[in-house]
Order: sequence, then structure tokens, then C-alpha cells
Amino acid sequence: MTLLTPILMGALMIVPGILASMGDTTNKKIAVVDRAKIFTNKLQGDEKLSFVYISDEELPAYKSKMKDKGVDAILVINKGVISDPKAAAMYSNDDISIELSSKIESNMTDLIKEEKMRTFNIQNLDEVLKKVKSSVSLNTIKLDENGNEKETNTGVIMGIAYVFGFLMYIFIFLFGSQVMRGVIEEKSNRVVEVIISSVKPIQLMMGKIIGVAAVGLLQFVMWIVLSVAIFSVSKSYLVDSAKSNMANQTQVTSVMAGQNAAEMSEQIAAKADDSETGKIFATISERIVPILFYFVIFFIGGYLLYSSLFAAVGSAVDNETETQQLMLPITLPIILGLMVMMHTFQNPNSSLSFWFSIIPLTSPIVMMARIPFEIPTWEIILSIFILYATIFCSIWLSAKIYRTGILMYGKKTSFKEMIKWIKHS
Amino acid sequence: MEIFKAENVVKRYADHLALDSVSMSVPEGKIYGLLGPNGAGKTTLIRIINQITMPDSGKIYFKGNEMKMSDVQFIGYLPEERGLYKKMKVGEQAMYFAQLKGLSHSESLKRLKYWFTKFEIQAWWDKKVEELSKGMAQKVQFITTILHEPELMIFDEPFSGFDPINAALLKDEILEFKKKGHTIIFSTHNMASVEELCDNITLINKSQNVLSGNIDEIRHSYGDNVYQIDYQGEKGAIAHVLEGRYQLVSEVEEKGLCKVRVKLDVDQPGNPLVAAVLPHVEVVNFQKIVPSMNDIFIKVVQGEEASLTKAAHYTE
Repeated sequence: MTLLTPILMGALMIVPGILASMGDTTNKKIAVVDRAKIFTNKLQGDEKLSFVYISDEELPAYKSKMKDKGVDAILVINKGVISDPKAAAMYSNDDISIELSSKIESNMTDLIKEEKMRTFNIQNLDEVLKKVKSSVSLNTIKLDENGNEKETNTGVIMGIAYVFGFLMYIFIFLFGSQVMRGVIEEKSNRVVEVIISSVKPIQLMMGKIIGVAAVGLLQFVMWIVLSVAIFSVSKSYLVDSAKSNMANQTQVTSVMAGQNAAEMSEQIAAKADDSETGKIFATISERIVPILFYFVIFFIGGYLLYSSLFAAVGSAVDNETETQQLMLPITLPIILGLMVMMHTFQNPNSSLSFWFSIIPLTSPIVMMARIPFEIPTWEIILSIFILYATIFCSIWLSAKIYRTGILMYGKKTSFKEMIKWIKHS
Repeated sequence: MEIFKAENVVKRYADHLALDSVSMSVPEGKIYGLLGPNGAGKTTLIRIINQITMPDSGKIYFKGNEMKMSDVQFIGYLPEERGLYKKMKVGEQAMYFAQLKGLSHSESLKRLKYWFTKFEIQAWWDKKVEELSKGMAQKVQFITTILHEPELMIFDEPFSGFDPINAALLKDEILEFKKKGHTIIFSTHNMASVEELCDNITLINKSQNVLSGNIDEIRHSYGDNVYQIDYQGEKGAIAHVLEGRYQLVSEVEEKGLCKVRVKLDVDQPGNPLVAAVLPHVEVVNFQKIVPSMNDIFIKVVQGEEASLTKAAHYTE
């Protein structure tokens, strides 16, 4: 299971991405009736998209027998398209993907812009147009106190924050409820009585919590190792293939722009490093070590806190179904943490994020979402301190409940009962 | 020497008094019965002996000294509700419990092999507990209880769930341990086993110790001085002998065998009765009826005092 899970999780994350990006994989051929006489032979196709220009007379025939003619859709552009954006329509038998229609839309918009500019009678219009073509990708640069600049990639950071915040939530819940289940099992098959004739109840409770933690951490370490392996393999693969993709694309555009070979290879190299993929990997590698370090600390803290509460709940009931009611006050802060986290990775430094990353019950999740954004270290230390201090209290309280609860059968335990146990124990 | 002593132990749970100033003394090397109706407080007392819970007031002593947590290594406890980890293998689990009690790995292994062979259950070593039947699991649990050869063994309803053969096996083992000098406390509703095995008993009712002492003495003290005469003959054959001198308690006839119960006065010996009856009928059986523990239990718990000779508290 330990080995399978990261593979499954990886698959779960990658596969939808691949499927989404695959998009329209089939070759599409579009018949164009250009009544405005602007677009003929100018619409840009690619390996998957081609245009064939037909006349008005051929239109009805195409409309009725699209598939026989070998086209997937018919684009009819009316004369007034320059002034009326709605003057074009696409006919098809099957649904047209958003990707396709927006591609054509932007293509047409560019061409219409060009047409409109022609009316201004600019000299050397074609050359000017070529030079004006640009695409912008924003560089995000972080300034720290010394004025040092560091390139960042906000999107990636958000992604990291999200992943780790979510991981924290999952792990705490997963291992915490494992503790609870173990306690209930021991109680329901009565082995607990035999064991506590040899050891103190708190030893049993702590033993269980630490034992599950050890298993959890071992699994986690294995996942890290596996992930690092997959990461480095995929890094070289993806970046390399990105490079080759980049090369193909640049080749095409360069040929069209009439550039020579030298300029081409320069461009390819520069683009690859600068590419989105390259930047992503750079950001991740830079920040990952401290993030993992804090993750372990907060995971241990959050887990200890919640698992002692889970153990107390487990000791108070006779079987798993009865836990629903008592679980509520434990699951609430966890879910609250998740919800604040959604806000946090867009606003890592808001006061809402700050406070919830300090309050012990929500801090593991919210703080994990803040850490990738390189917040001040003192805040992290404070949060850790408060968390671990709270853990002592919760273990002390839970031990009292545990000690009485594990020998109590049949009574449906309410919170009032549990308070009685605490006072009495 | 007392292996265990409780002095005026009081234990209160949140809304209920479980033990009301209970005192008990368990002599070493004997088998001690802890009796009482359900809910009387026996299990609470047992848990206190096992250091599972602590008394609210009162003192407990183990081998003459005030009891401490570490004394549990000298105690073995088989709870009434049997419990083992279902998904764990038998051998592995037995090793775990043995080591919990302080045995080394190699010592545990050695002893387990011995016991598994003795009980002829070697085949179960690698089976998961959930694959065993109830009786089988109890055998395993019994072994884990006594594996560290504790000086004091406590069994709560040990015979429940055992078929006659296994029950006999268990009895033999208990007697073996007694011979070796171990002390055994067992709590049960099975009065026959109490009569067979126990030397001393304590009866707990409604959180109090209502009867304590040596079993023979108790039975005799609850005796009504009733004698039973079995003879071949007809009903009423000795009526004229008894009339005026002896009190007839009951008379039954079965297939020519008559069983008559006669109550004598306190201290009145039985021999003259036999002598008086002998010339008249063929006597096949003559015995003093000592009340069964079953009867005593019922009488004490139901509080009947009518025909009971009140017994003082015997403590040894």
C-alpha cells in the first residue's frame, strides 16, 4: 500500500491534467466562406487545424453533407464583419470545442485589426505589423529588505501552498482517525483490560499515538523519496521535451518571419530556460527544503494534538458509529482551517491568515499554506511554540478521559460525562 | 502469609458506590473464591488488585507491603470478557503479552512452546486469532495469562465457554499451580467448581463483604444439622422411630429407595439416630447434609435468616 499510494496519487494528479491538455486531438478541417474577402488564405492553421476556402455557391452542398466533403465545420463570414462582431458563424454536426472556437476567434480578431489599420494608410504597413507583434509574460520579482531581487513565480507558489495545506489536512485526518479506530478496536474486543493490567492507560494511549505516527512518518518519508525520484526524472524529461517542442515552434515562426539559423538556435536556448516549465522547476527546487522541514514539524504537532483528541473520543464510545456525534467538535476546526487556507494562499499576509496560523487547532493547515510565501520566521516559531504547548494540555486532558472511558461500556457518553471523568480522574 | 490484603477499600464511580469499605484477606498458596451477584462489585475489586484502578480510600497490601504499580508483574489476570487482537497471529500475540509482563524474548518463546505443546495447540501458532473458535481463543488467552508464572493468578469466570474436557483440563492446571505454591483467586457463578476447588471464599453483595472464610467451615456453619438416611423400604417405615425425638424435614421415595432428611437439634450427634433406625430398615446411605455453596449463596444474598444458623465472620 505504501508503494501504491504515491503512484496512485501521482496518477490522480497527472492524468486529468494530461487529459485536459490533450484537448482536441483529432485533425479538424474547416470550410470557410469568406464573403468579406479579408480572410481568404490568411487564417492560420496548424498541424491539427486546416482551412479550405469555398465559394458561396458550394455552401448549401457543404452544409448538408459536411462529413462527405471531409470537413468538420463550416465558417461563414459575412461582409459586415469588420464593424459587426457577430457577423460570423460556425456550422457543425458535432459540438465545437471551446479551444477551437476561441482559436479561430482570436485569429479573426487579429486579421480584422490588420484590416482596420489598413484604412489608416500607414506606410510599410506589413513590416510595421510584423514588428508590433508581441506577447508578454510577466516576470514576478520579489524584493526583500536588502533590495535583493529574486525571481518568483506566484502561480507555482500558490500551487505548492495549496498542495501542502491539503496534504496536512489529509494526513492529520487519516492518521488521527487511525488512532481512534485502534482505541475502539481495543475497547470492543476487550483486550484493553488485559493490557492495562500490565501498563498504565496513558502509556497505552501514548504508545498507540506514537506508533501510528511512526508508521505515518515512515510512509511519508518513502513518498518523499519516491516523489523526488519521479520529480527529477520528470524534470529532465519534461524540460527536455519542452525544449524540443520549443525548438519546433520557434522554427516554424522563425521560418515565417524569415530569420536565419543562428538567430533561431539562440532563441531556442533562451526560451527553454526562460520557459514556464523551467521556471516552475526552479521555484520548486529552491523552496522545497525548508517547506518540507516545516511540514514535518507541523505535521507532528498537528497530529499529536488531534490524535490525542481522537483517542479520547474513541475511548468514550463502544463502536465506530457512535463516534459521529463526538467527532463534530474535532472536525470543525480542521474544516475551518481548510476554508481559511483557501483565502490564505491568495492573501498570505492578511490578519485572518495570521491569526489562524497561530491558533493551535487550525495552525498546522493554515501555516503550511503560508510558509511557501516566505513569511517572517518569528511567526513560524511562535506558532510552533503555541502548538506544542497546547499539545501538552490536550494529552493531559485526553489521558484523563481515556483512563475512564476505556473501561466504561454501554453508557452513551455526552460531553458532560466526559467533563465529569476529567474532574474525577 | 497473606499474599493480598484489602483494608476498608472504598471505590466510587461518578454516580455509584462500587465498594463500600470492603476488607479481604487472601492466604498464600490456596485457591480463593470471589463470589457475588452481578453488579456487586467483584470486578471492581479485581481491577483494584490488578492496579487497573485505585481505591478512593482504604489500603491494599501485596505480600505484606503496600501495593505498588510494579507488583503487577507478579500477577496474572484473565478477564471475564475475553479479548485478544483479532488480526494478530496467535504466536506473535502471545509473545507480546509475555514480554509486557517482563519476560525476555527467548524465555517467552521457550515457555510458549512448552505450553502450546502441553495443550496440543502448536498448529495454531501462525493462525490469526479471528480464525479460532471461542474456546480455542480462551485457551490461548489462558496461556498468556499464566505464562510468566505469576505468584497470584486471578481468573474471572475461567470456565465459561469451555466444554467439559477443556474445563477439566483447566481445573487440572489450576490444581497443578496450587501444588507449586501459586495463589489463585477466581471469580465465578459456577458453585460446583467453587466447592471442588476453593479453600476460602468471599461473598460480595451490594458493594459489601457479607461472607468470608474457609469454605468447609462456612458450609458447616450454615448447616442445619440435617442428616439424610437412605434405606430400602417403604415410606414411613421409620416414622415411629423419629416421632417425638427427631424433626422430619423431607421424605421421598424412588423405586423402593427411600430418602429421609431429619433435622437434629444443635449439637445433637447423629450416631444415636442411626442406631435407632438400624434395627428397622436396611440402611444404604447415611450422611450429614452440608449445604451447597449454591444454597448458601442464595440464602445469603436473599437475606433469609429463618432456618440458618447465623455464622460469625470467619477470617483466617
